[in-house]
Amino acid sequence: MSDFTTDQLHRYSRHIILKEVGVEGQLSLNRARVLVVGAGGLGSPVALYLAAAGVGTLGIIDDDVVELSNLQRQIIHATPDVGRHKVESASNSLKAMNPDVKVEPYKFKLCADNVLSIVKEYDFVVDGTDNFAAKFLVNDACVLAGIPFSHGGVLRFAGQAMTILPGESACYRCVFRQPPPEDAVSSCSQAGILGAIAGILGTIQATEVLKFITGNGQLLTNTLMSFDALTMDFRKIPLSRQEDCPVCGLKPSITSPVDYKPAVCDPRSGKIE
Amino acid sequence: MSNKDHQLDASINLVGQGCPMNLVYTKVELAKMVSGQLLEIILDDGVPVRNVSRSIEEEGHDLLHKKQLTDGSWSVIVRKS
Repeated sequence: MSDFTTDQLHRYSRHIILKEVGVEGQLSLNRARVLVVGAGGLGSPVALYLAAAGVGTLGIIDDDVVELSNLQRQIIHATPDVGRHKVESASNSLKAMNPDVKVEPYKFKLCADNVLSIVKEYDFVVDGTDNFAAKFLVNDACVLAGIPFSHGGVLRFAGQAMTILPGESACYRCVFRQPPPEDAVSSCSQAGILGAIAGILGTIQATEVLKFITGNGQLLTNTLMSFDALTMDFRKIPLSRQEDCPVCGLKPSITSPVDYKPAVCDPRSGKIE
Repeated sequence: MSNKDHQLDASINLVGQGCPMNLVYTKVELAKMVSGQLLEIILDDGVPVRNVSRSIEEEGHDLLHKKQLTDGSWSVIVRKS
């Protein structure tokens, strides 16, 4: 039985008329709870498309404020938002996009002490973070809590994505054992990124979420999808679970989330110091 | 509910509803029904009756009967898959 209002039927009509989504698929989207980690380059298109799609509850976590230099790619924020907390700015954009969506903002950083309790509240998690420490933290927490998630990363003109179903498919740590040494990697701020690259990759991640929730197609499980926008080459590298993976293998050495940079969570703000 | 040849379980009048909302309302109605039940859809002549008929068949439902009514609209009877 559908409880859609007439407005909702119009809003979601292009989903409902898809054979693969239909009324049931749209209801599943409306009931779904998705956490977007990071309200930046990837989190912007992910959260906007999920809100537009009618995902019922969107958690969004980020401790940053909007800076002018973000606006070249972080399209959930606009010029008047400079100086505002990203989660507040993002919540406003999402509510404007679709008032049906309930936004749960977290105005602090994910860290080893808070990550499990947060990811456990959601059906699916999207990694839209910009650093390796956070990517491993999200992976480990989702694997330990058994929450499906999408890994995504972008730099310069390239991006990569992978979908992880804990216990079923290879995890991020099966492929990348540990973060590279800090001085070996460039951050976005040092390396630069073509803004639209974040849009391509974030939209791929949002598509994976929508496929997962509606039960359609083949996910990017056991697969690292990568692309180079300069040549527009997309490729898929097949992967498999590793028995010696430190978090999802047979004898895991990681049994609780770890912060890579020595960090202390302030229990009041959750901020890493 | 019945017409001459079929015992209907539901009927929906979509005269005046353009594409794709006529298909949306049809799918919402079908979603309320169980497999094997019969739905009558009243559709405008032309694109609406052509598109909705094709779409419901593509979705695997059986189109049992299609008849033009005196006012030019169409009665389409579908058995839910």
